[in-house]
Amino acid sequence: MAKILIVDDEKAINDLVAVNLKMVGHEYVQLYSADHILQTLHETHIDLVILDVMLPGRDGFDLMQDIVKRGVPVIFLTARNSVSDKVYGLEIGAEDYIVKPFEAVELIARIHVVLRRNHKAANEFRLDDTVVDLEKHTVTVHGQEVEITNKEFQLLDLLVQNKNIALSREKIIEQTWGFDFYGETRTVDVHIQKLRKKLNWENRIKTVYKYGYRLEV
Amino acid sequence: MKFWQKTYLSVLVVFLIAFDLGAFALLKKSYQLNEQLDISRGVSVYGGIDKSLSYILRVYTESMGNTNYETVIASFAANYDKEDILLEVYQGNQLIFSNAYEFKGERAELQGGPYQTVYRKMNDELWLFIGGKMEFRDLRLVVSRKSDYLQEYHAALRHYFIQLSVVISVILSAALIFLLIQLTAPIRRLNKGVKAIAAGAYDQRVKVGGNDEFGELAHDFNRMADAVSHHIGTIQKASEDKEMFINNLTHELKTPITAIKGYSEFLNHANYNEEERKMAVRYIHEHIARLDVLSGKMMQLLYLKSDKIALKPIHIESLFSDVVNLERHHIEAKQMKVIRECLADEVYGDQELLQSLFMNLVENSIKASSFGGEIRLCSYHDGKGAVLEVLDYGRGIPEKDIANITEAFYVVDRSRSKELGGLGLGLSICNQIAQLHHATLTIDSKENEYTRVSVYFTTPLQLED
Repeated sequence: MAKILIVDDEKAINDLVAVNLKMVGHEYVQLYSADHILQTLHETHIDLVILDVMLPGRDGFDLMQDIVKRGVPVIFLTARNSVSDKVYGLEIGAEDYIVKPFEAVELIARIHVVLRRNHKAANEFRLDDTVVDLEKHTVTVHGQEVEITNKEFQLLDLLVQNKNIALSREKIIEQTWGFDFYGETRTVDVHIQKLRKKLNWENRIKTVYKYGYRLEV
Repeated sequence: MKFWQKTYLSVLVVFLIAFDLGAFALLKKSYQLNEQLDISRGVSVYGGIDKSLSYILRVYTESMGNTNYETVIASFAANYDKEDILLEVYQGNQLIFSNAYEFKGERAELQGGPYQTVYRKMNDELWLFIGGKMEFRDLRLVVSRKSDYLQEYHAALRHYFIQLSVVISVILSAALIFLLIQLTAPIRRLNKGVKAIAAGAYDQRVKVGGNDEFGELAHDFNRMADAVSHHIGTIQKASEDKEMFINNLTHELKTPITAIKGYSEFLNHANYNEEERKMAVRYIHEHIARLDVLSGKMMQLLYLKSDKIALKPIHIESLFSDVVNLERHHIEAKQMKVIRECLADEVYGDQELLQSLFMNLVENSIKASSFGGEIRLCSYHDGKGAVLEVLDYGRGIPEKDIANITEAFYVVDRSRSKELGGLGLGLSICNQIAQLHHATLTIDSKENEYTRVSVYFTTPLQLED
């Protein structure tokens, strides 16, 4: 998985991002001010920076140039929600701009998009005897390739990206079938059943009562 | 049409009318004078002819005894014909000789006394007719003489004047335009400046010197621009402050909301362990407390911004003791020593608000002081009114921050303020309360030595109440 640098002076928010990254298996480094960002980028290999705008001393917009110069993608995570700030943030080279308060699933999905775009996402996921190749869209169980439909793979990808975090049925529909899907949430249950069988993950994909599903690792 | 063009055209038109009227009068006068000269010359010619002809006729009649004058007159007239001088001779109403133009009409020159002069146009030529009684018998003589040169002279003169007026107009135009452009340059500069300022360059000023009306106007205009840019500056500052305030408030609101929302979501849906659960719950609790403090302070600020208060006499001694009493937990926790010294007895104000003000100040002092420190609460008269002070020997305020410290959400050291639960609203509230009391709040501090916050209840308004 990726190594992500979190820069936010609010310890609570910093820890919140960190604990969510930890859940889905990313590594992370936490910084509480602008001071040591460049040093950290120099010393450790960082795949992505999550950057607050209102930092003590220099603001995040200021820091942007130095980080972009090193070719590290940046996602802004800030309370400033004006359109002009968003446009400016993206203009100066941020990959994405997320406004607080954010949802964990949303944050993780957007981090994943940026990592993929920059070819920094892992392309293989192993759990028990199941190997998911996220690039070739193939799944093997005990070395045997398993037949899997396109929709099933999308659902599997979503579960893997959000491992250890419960996904509501609505969220799953939105992410896999899109907003304009008017099917029933039963559709989700059916697809989850199929995945459990095919991948031998009966105990891994947990049902969260009255909510949805979670892939536990 | 531009001002200089209007001026130019009106001056030119007025000049041309005046010049032409003058020229016309001059022409007329000179024509009259020339006519008089012509007449007097004509009369002298007539006199000469009269004398010579009369003499010849007298001699002729005396020697010949003949009254047939015609041949005599004809031969005499032939001499004058060359000079364009023509003769008519009448005996009574009978024409006895003429080599002149024949025409019908009134012959004024045949009436009356010694002689009459009449100008006539014959075949487009001007002729002077002079008629009168001759010295000889009762014959009448009419001499007509071509005076065309008068008209030619007149036409030449008129032509000359027209040329002159054209030349003068051209010269005048050039001089006028040059002068007007010179004179109206300040207007154009003023105009340019005004346009620039109207377009939003409020810091621009018009550069027009001199003590004339333009200079004065430019000066006044610049004063107006100063006033405008000052007001604009004030408005901009206010709107920047407001934006800053809203940004800060957004940040201060969003942070705890993000934390509470994020950790509750985490507790709901994540596959967490016990340690993570504790952390999440602790953060939720912490940030709800923070929101609570923020909402309380915001309410207070908004309430202060909207209200007028009734001022009542407040006993300072008891105000201080109430404040110390309300803050005793904080004071005891840090084992602080509070020294009170009241030289002034009373101040006019609102009991609760003043309590809140001094509680805020005392809390700040406690936060700034180290364990076992000392806080002084004093009051005294400074000649105009009461001054109340809170003094501590804590970490002080850096000099660069003193000017801004009463702004909402302004904190000297963000990370440290958060530790102590500070939002940067305390002093802003104190300042608002002081303003409501028509009092002024001043801060004097040296880093790592002391901080003295003084509230001066000494403005005329405060004393009035």
